[in-house]
Amino acid sequence: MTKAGAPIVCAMVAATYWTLEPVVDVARDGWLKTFAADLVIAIIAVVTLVAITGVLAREGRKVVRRESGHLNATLVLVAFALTFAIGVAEGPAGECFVWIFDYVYAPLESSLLALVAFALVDTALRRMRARSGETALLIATATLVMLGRAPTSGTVGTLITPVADWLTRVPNVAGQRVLLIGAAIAACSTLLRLLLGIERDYLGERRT
Amino acid sequence: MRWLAVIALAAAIAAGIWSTRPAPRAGIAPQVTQAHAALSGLGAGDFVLLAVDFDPASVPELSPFVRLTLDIALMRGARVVTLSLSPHGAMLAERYLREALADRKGTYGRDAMNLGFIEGRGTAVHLTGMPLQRMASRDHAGNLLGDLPLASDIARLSDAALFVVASSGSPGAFDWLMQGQGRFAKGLLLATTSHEGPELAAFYASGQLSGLVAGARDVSAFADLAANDPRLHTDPSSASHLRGLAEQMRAHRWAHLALVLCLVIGQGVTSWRGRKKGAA
Amino acid sequence: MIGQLIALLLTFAVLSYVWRDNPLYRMTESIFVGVALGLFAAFEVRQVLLPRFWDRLAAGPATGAAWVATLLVILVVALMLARLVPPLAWLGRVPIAVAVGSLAGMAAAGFVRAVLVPQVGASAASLVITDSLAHERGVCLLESQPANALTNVACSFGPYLNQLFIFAGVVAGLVYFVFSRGENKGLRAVSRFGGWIVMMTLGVTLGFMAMAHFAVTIGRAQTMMETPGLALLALAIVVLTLLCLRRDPPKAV
Repeated sequence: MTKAGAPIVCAMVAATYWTLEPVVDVARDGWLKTFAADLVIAIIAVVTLVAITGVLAREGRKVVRRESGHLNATLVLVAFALTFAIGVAEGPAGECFVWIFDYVYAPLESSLLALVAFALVDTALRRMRARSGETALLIATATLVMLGRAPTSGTVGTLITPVADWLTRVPNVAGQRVLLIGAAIAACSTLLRLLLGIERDYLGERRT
Repeated sequence: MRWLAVIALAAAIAAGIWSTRPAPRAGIAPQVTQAHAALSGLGAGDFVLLAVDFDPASVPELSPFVRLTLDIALMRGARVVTLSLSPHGAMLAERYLREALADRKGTYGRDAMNLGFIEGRGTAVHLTGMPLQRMASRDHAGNLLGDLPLASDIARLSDAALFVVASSGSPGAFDWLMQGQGRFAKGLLLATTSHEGPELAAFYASGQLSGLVAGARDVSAFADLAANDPRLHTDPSSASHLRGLAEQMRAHRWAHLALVLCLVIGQGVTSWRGRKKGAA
Repeated sequence: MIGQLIALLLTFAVLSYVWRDNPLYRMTESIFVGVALGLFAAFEVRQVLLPRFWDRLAAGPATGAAWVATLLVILVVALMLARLVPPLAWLGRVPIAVAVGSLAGMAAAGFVRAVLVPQVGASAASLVITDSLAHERGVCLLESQPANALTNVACSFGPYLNQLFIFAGVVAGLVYFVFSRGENKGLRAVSRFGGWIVMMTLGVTLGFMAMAHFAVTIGRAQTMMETPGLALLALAIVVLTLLCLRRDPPKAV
């Protein structure tokens, strides 16, 4: 087996195992399945740690070389060091770690998402103009669904809510099925390319 | 954008203050009724797997559902095992589990336990079909599973009467659907943010789910059903507690209406100004 | 109370971006990046690597197959270090290849079993009158009390028409994606209908997405309302800080 071929064969074997596993299922309680699952888990965990290390190394370089933004980079490193040290020492249920999660991470994550989310929705709806029948249909559908999902009373509620529900239960289901079927076919196509050794992007090789 | 953001926040705050008025009772969607029936049908001896896979930003939409699920399960005498496919989900699960056990006077390790973060996404779902000790050797707090009575009673998590997944994206509902539905989960109940609602509607329509609660409106309807279900009023505090959760969601719905009107009016004004400029 | 004040300070510091990009916002962003990285790294070490691998390895060979499997996993993952030795760098690709192959295989199997077969099956079943249709008719009649001739007709045919619409929508949608330029009038008409279905789906998705994002905003507002005194204090501190800090270019978008 060549040096280029070994990773490809490993990918093929792993893909074949996990594709056939639901059908064959003989390894349900066996150590083969535990080994296969643990291998994936370990690789994902280590890759995550390597990626985090990469980000920290980049921030560290900014600090060492006093590049633009080195003060913020220092903040990143200090915040990481504190959180990581407390997390590893105390564990996820530790008092200080829970405090950091409740009063630092959670409010920051929520606020950043609120900021980004609001800007996205605002931009999408401002820039959208009913230039064609189809875009007008999109905007009308979105507006009806938004109004139908909020509380409305009296005649307005009686008119809008059933329309919004119908849009969600009927045309939306049809469209989502099309998208899901397309995604399923794409996933099978990727698997086939992997099994045939055509897909090599994950090795850093360009497609010929 | 800045003025719209300020107006939107002010509208949300004002609607929250004004929301002491009950919101009009929207028609309850069948998927929500089915979700409520699935949870209320639990009995003593059952255990339910609750996957908390949402981030702190989704807490306003999904935390009432998680609290209701925990309350309903414990009120019905069922035991609960929580786990998460993401670290923040594990932290949230621990918080809600401890709160629910304190309210219902349950005991951690006997009535409920939190397995914490399980890495691997779809692989983690596969592990639910394996003996429990292969899935995890310790719980979220670091206790050995062998020391917890509930862990000794469970052979594997796929024996659960119901898988309940509260999810806000990836990892979450799709991982449980793709790997667990029809294979490891006897029944799969999904609660998601509005984001995933349209996509998951197709799975509900094809009969793959035991219920679907998507977004604040559905969570509010679910809370109303639970508050008005006499089977769940096992003690004087439970009825008022459930009604409190229902009230919390009603504030949401008024605030939603305020924001929707802001957006629709804003869009209308912007279009009108654009046309005026074009005409001039 | 200190924790709540800090949470509110951080919230307003982030929301200060609405006014303009400023050093306080960027500092808060950096703190978030550091804390998030620390959180994830701590979980990977304490919740994944230590209990799953270290504990089992430390239990020793007496545990049998468990120990051997764990050792093999560690050896395969350790191959990643081979990238540091140029002649052996090719070995470092093996774990990545295994992960990619595993996830692709799992995804394809999941898509076929849980998506392709049920969704295609449900679409085809739309043409058949099933028990669920009778159930839907019953629910429709219950919600349309008092019943009259019009509601009877609507409830009898409505659910079946909906199912037919879904079937037609799925077929037309697939035609839209596959034959975006129809060769003949009939195909173009079907493709156009498919385009409308896709637009309605995107419209529903956009509407729901907006609702999800409103919920996040409402959540922040609710947090501020829980302790209004602290919220006002935090707002005052952030505003004063912004006034004291120099304004950095570039300005907010």
